[in-house]
Amino acid sequence: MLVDIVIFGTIWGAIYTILALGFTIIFGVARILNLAYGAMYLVASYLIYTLVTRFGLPAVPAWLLAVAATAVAGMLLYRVFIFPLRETLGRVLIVTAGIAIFLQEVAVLIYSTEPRYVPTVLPGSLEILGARVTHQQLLTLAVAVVLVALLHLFLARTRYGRELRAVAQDSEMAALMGIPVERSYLVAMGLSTGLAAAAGALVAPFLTVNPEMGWSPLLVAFTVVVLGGLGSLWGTIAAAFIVAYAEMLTAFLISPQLREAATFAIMIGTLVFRPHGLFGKGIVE
Amino acid sequence: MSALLAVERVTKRFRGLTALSNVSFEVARGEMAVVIGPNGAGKTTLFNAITGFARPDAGRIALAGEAITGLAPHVMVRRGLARTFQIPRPFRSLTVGETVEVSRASGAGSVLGALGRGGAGFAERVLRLVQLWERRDEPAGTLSQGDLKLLEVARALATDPALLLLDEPYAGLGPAEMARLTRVVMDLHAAGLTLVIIEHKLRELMKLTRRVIVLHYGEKIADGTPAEVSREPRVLEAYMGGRGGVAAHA
Amino acid sequence: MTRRLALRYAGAAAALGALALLPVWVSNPYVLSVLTLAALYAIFASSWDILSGYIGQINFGHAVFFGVGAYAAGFLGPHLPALLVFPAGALAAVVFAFLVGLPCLKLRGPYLSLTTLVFPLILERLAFTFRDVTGGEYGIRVVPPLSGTGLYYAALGLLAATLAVLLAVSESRLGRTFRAIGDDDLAAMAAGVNTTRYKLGAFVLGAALAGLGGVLYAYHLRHVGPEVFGLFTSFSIVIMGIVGGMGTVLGPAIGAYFLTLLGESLREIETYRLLVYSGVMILCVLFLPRGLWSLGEVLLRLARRRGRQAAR
Repeated sequence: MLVDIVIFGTIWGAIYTILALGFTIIFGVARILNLAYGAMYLVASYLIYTLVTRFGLPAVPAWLLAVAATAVAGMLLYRVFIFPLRETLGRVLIVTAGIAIFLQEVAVLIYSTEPRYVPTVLPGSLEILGARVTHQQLLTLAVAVVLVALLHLFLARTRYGRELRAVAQDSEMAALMGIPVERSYLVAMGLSTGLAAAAGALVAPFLTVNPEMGWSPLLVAFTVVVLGGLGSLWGTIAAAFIVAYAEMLTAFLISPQLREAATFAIMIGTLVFRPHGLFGKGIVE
Repeated sequence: MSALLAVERVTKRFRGLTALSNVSFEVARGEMAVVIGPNGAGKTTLFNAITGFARPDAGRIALAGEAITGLAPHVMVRRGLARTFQIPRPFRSLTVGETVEVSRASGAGSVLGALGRGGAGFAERVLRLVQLWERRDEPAGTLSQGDLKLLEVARALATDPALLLLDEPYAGLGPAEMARLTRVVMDLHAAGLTLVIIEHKLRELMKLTRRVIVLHYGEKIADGTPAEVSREPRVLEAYMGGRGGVAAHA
Repeated sequence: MTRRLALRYAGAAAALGALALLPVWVSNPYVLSVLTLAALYAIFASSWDILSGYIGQINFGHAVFFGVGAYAAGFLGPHLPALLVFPAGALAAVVFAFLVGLPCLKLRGPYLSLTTLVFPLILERLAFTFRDVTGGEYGIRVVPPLSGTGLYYAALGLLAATLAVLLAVSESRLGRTFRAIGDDDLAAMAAGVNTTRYKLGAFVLGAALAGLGGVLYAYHLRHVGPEVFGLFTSFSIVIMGIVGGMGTVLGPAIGAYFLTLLGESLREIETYRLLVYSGVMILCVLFLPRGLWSLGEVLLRLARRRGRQAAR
């Protein structure tokens, strides 16, 4: 069982890293708390489901298409709903909440509340030290690692990435230096949504796809950011893995139903006892 | 021990930058001290540290002998410490009169009592002092920049402080408004309120004050009368090439 | 008292009076039931507005308070005289207000909002897990001491009390302090206000009222189950408050009536309800930030101008 905890904790840790990074990007760069973040995860999952089961697309193109489409949708969302309201953060919060609820209900409308299943890309499983791991899950881990590496490269090496970091540090200074801040926000939104979508599409094959699935990723992402802070990539990764292992420990040792409770407990506990996060660069000012 | 405010070796760091470094000074009861320094010298950070909006990383702050380091802002107000903000922060949902009513009086000062002005209510006295009484029913959001700054002062005064910290009160004011503000400052000083003022526009204040503290890159580089401070070589260096520094007004 | 204020009191009193007289003409139990539900939602939305509208910290977890009140009715109903169930519900809600408030209210703005979202989810989970106590997903059957017209008047009475509290607060120094905190909490701190204590106070007050409403809600449904903590209920209240007009005293109640009646007219397509609600809310946030209440004010101003023109 210890092996189960370690292996699944690692897989979920990787997924949570992606979720948290996506959340951090839009928040760190544009100071927007996007409550529709989980809905993007939802949209991607349903897109992959539709593309694979209703249109018969093979897995990899379906995945890429789903992520790209959701990322574009995210940017549109920003332009249409968030940009006009950006003066008042409270209204941005409400409108993103509204969009999240709306999208959830659209999913109910189109797909009903029945859970849906996305077929796996790599069937079969193998045994690692006594734990049964599906190939799909290992693939997910691999893809997640690659994504994180790509993101890091993007932020460190490309022009857009450097602009994003400048804007995140000090948007006024960046504007003075001639960086197009609004474009950075748009790019950040696309990136953020893309990451949520990637996580959703990755997870779809081994979890069920249902309309309520958007809230957990949002809350997990938030918890990881609260715990790990906004500052560093490694802080986020560490926090994501802590949350993942805590969940696995709870699921295996206490009850699978209380898995989320572990995350909530970490969120509340951190906010109460260590509001600046584990590494001191937390969100509470 | 006549020092009302004692700041001892206060240090504050922000994301790798040392905003304040070992700053120490004392302000006596009834004194009016002006804090000057180039932009980014740490003046507002000093105010934030004193009034509880930022916790010092090292050092000690005491008010009338009692330690107040790191207390919450509203507790500071209860002890008799009030401040204004550099950029006014009005309550846009409230009128001028209502703004002043929100302030919690500390009971630590008695300056406003000394100002008298004929037994009117507390809020009225404060608003009359800054000449905003006639506009008490107007929404705070409709005021001009100058009036907003005076409303900031009124809000701080309404807490009946023993020590009032003004953060660049003159910034953005026209000549008539500046004269009004100077009148207020002089009235308060004459009534015995202890004042510490951050300011850039020294012409007005240099004539009025006998105590200047100079900050530069978070360090205190001079502390004395305007004449003494303007002769201090480090101060001249700091302001060299600056627009209208201390030397021009000594 | 200003003219505008008097007009508002008069308007609210007239509307409540009309609602109170309704059962005299309308005896259709279905209509009465819908109006009771609308009144209950009006209570929830108005009590929510105390923290969210005044202090401006949007609370997504208000369902905790009336859910707890409802469960109190479920647990204690058979054991306590009816009159004691109400204070018990309110007390339970207040306890939870402290449990939720202490971690959350230190936070500001969006962090507070997101954290409040968690609590109803936790309670929903707990209600499912401890099925021996809570009846799991089936919930508890509630035998109401009041029903039909009696329940309608109880709900209306509580609504009137809630609105009275809101009106009293809004015109008092307390209300001004709340609004000051909502406008600029740092400036409020600089004025000596202990903002956390006030936020907690607003939270507790809203919770107590919602708890009382929750008891009535359980009586209305004759049942209480985990769905009372569900996201549907939490979001419905937020949407009603926003659509009606946050911070306007009567706005959320109006929003609640509007959306409940709208929802009922879509009854055949029950699944569309939250879809429509959220769609309306998005439109409101984009185009009508102060909700239906501001629409009313705009119309009133137009009417006055027309009247003046006609008089010439």
